[in-house]
Amino acid sequence: MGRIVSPSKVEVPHKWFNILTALNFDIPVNLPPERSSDGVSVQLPIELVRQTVTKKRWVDIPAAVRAAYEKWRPTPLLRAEALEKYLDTPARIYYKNEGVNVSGSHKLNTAIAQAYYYHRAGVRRLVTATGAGQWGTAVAVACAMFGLECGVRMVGTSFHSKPYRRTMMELYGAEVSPSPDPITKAGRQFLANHDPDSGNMALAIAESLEDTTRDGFTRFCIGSGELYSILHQTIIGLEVKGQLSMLGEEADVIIGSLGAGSNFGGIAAPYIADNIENGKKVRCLSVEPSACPKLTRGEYRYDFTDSSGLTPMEKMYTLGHHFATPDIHAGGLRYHATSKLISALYHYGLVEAIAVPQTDVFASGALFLRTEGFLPAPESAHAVHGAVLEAIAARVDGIPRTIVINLSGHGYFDLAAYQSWHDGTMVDINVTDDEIRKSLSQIPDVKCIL
Amino acid sequence: MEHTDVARTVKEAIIREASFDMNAAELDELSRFGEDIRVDSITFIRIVISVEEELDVETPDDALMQTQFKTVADLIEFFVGVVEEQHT
Repeated sequence: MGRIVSPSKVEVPHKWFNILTALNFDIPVNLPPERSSDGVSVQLPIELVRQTVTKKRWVDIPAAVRAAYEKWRPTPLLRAEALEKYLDTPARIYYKNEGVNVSGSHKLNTAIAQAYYYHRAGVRRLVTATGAGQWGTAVAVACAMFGLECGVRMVGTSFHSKPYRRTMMELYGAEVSPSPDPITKAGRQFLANHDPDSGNMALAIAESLEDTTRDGFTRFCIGSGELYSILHQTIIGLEVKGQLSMLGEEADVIIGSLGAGSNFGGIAAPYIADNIENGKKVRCLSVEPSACPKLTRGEYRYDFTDSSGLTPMEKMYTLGHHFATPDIHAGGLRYHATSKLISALYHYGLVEAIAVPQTDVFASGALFLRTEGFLPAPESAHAVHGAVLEAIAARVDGIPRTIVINLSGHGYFDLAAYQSWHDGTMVDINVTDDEIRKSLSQIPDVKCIL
Repeated sequence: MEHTDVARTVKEAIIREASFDMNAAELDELSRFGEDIRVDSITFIRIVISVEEELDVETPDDALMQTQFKTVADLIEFFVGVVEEQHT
């Protein structure tokens, strides 16, 4: 088991860190939506948007949110000594275990903040979409904290393969439905042309957005990708800096898995700012599935954030909002694009990316279990695998380095996936250039929209 | 504060955030959000925040969430009410 860096000596931060104040470029603005005769209604609490436009470096964490954080934060930073020994590497490997709260992942950090602000804004019910179920669980927990009703649309393959995730959400009072769902317009359109098992986050989001039309007190919330969700996740990176500092250590490589970007952005943000402002050279490495390679093989262009084409177009690295995401086990990484912030950081060379096949990912996840005694979620195992590759590189080139993994969640609801790997039935899915090209060709030309 | 001051501030915020190439006098108060002024929810809230800063008021979260804004005039009247409540 890893050696814990005394978490009790590090305080839970009082403020989130606003990386936008450190950037020497602007994040591209969203394109205007399609014409609508419905006027405009406010879908977000104003405070969440204030957090994306403020010029303040530090944003206060509300007392009620911080009190909730203190129930399990600061999360432990552990040294993976057994893994280091197994890999025979001169690298020092640390992992920040965000899987130690009731929801099982880092998602709770922003779910609590968002539920707080939505509750304060008079919302009575939150609806959302979830891939693997970590975000849905986090929202269910957070809604219960603030007395909100909760509706979750879960990507169909995960809904069926991870029934106990659904149980967790329902125990917290959430209403959970699979996506695609023939009762929604988006679901019917999808089912007319696609296999029901090829549903993805973009579709689940589209169906959740339809759920918001039920009444005037229901709003949609999202777990990753938005600037404010990455802001809330900077609590991870801020704690890591404090914990490493206590050891007299400095990170050389920060690693996180990449879906829409909040876990990676959250741990990396303080380091990216240091690189820009203080000339540091900490590498921030994102690890994405080779079956959903938006940074490594996507295009940096405007695209919709869901499959319906009704959400605003954002400039992101994307595979196309109609990309038929292969059925990989890391459901939380099955999103066709990544956030506009992470996309811009990659575009300007401030972060790195690699794409890895799922059989290698699960091999590293199983290795981590055997050496460190903790089972990473399939999503988090991408970051573990990235660290394994870095550690091997350190052995090969003989250059020590301090690696920090954002272990974003536990995998104890994902044992069926690990069983598949263990039994040798898991396969790697290759996405061809033609498939990507075809998907990208379906994105509307921006000039036609403006 | 006069109604005309609030109206000019709201229009200037819309023009700025929606990147319109016009001045406040040219923006018709009957312009419709969604049809004539295509902004998403986040951009609309950025307009509200911009007006708040100019008028030195704070918009109650729950008041904003429960209101549908069809026209520029709707937003102006909303802020006239906020200013009256907070500056008297």
